[in-house]
Amino acid sequence: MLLYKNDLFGELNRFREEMNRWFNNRSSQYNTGYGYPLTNIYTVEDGYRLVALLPGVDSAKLDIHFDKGHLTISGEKPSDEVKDENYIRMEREYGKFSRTFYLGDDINPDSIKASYKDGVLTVELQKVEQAKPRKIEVK
Amino acid sequence: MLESKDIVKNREEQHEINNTERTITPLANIYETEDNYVLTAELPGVNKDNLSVSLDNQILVIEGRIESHVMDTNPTYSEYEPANYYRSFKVGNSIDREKIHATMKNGVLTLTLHKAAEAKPRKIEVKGE
Repeated sequence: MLLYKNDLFGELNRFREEMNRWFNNRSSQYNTGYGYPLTNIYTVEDGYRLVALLPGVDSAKLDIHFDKGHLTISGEKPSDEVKDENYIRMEREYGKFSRTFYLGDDINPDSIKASYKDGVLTVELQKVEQAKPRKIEVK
Repeated sequence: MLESKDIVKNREEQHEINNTERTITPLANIYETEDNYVLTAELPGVNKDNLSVSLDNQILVIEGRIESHVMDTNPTYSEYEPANYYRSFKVGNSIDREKIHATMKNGVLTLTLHKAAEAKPRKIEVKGE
């Protein structure tokens, strides 16, 4: 079972996102009411793949922590270091972020691999051996 | 050698990108320095080979194609729908068309648009008697 922590308003946000999609075909990826970074989770053969949109972050400053089934992604997105009065347009967000996802107690902590490429963070998590689906032979 | 039908086909593809495909509008900042306008835009999942920046008739167009690994389908839990990026900006005559510099790092595009000479602030000397 896959659960998302702090998903109190999840349904409402999904509804709002759906409405935004109706009204604006070219919608932004952001301002959807979710936390930062926006994340998709995929079920793969041995476990899960988590893909988070994190443009403009130094991978050395990304902190990924796993404890008792909870995966936490945290870090800081640096600003352009430009004086406010020199901005003509400012849409991008900056600052510290942290998000936690509960992925179940059957994840093998030693299996977790993370990579960062082109502003996308990918975390691969494998389930412990006994939690994987097995084919049982009938004799 | 491009034949005319290829050109027509290319135009059709272009049309499709601009009008029918669902695209994401990348978030952008624009700031001004003494000599340049600097535009930064977020295109996570796009590398420099899949990025196109063009300036035609005062319209600056940014297009980015995301890499296939970000295009995975059927997420178990979803907060975004991967799609290609498209955004256009109207730029005035204050840009020197020959001096536009683009870099791509960690999914962030930085475009440096050099100001045309007439758009730069000038110091006007006051002459005394």
